[in-house]
Amino acid sequence: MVVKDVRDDRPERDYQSFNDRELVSMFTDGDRRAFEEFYKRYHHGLMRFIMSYCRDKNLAEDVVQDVFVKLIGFKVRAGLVRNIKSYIYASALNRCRDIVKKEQKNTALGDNGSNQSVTDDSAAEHIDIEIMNKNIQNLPERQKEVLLLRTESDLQFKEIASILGISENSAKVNYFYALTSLKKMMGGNFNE
Amino acid sequence: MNKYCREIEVKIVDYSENMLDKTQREIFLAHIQDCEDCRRKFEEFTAARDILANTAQKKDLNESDKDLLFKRLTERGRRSKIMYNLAAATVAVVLILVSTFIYSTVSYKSRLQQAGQTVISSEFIIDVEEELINSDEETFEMLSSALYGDDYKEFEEILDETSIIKP
Ligand SMILES: [Zn+2]
Repeated sequence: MVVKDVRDDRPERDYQSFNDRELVSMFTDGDRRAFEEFYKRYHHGLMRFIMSYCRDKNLAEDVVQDVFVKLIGFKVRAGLVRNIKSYIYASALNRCRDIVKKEQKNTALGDNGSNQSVTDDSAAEHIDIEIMNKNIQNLPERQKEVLLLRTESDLQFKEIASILGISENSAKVNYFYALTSLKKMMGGNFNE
Repeated sequence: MNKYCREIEVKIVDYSENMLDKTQREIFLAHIQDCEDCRRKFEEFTAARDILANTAQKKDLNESDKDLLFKRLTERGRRSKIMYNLAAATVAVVLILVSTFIYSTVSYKSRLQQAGQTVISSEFIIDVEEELINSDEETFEMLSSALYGDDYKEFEEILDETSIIKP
């Protein structure tokens, strides 16, 4: 398969000035540069969020792909999606919740589930991150969601509130308790 | 416990994220100095945030295969475009039928009520059409279930997801 990299001489900011909806419509019609711009805007943050949530790289890639594919679906085309950013994160979140629920069921049945490592870091750091990730999974669901949307995807509290259907203050309070509980859980494992 | 202590968590987060203006920041810091409870919470939060920031930096990932994703999207895009056009065409046909039906019913009724009492213009039909296209999700749902058959489940899922976002 040969995919031409269309980094021609047109200035990059042309595409940066398009809003999400325009970009989606353009890349659905095969515009590679529109896709590049959209990808740049969302892929990284989305991937980090999903990976921290599901803790499985392959699964996370599948989810990201599905979320992107949904953008070319009926609802977006019909103009029924008001905010593309909220929409992709809400879609991703729903998929993640399902995956984790399924995983918990499997674990309950004696299957160890997938607890793949998330990083390629050296051993010592690896343990810290591994412990941290495990502890994040043990937070109450809402706290975990707010925390990951904030730290992994760098979303504003306003955006997080809109995705989760809660108030901005509630998002902040959840973030506060997510972080402080996390530190308590880490206990002696973290001596800075 | 001072009135300011209420929702101190929100204020701590706002302070840490640089979301307070100068005056608010000064009030916040003065309170933290005076109030032991809030100060403890603030210190707890700051320490926790530092740990997380430290760990997060170490964590990064490779990008997935962008080309493959783009290919998949454009392929699906072409397919869904055909589906969408088909759906739009069906919607249009159904709308014409519905509007004609409404129009004839209403005009029949109005004829019965004697001309002049109810005036129906073509704008009325356009209104009905726009209303259906823009806001009536149920109609969309119905049409897509008829159109997509098994794929309807996916459509329903999409509707579910977006309902979270709606104010
Ligand atoms: Zn206080």
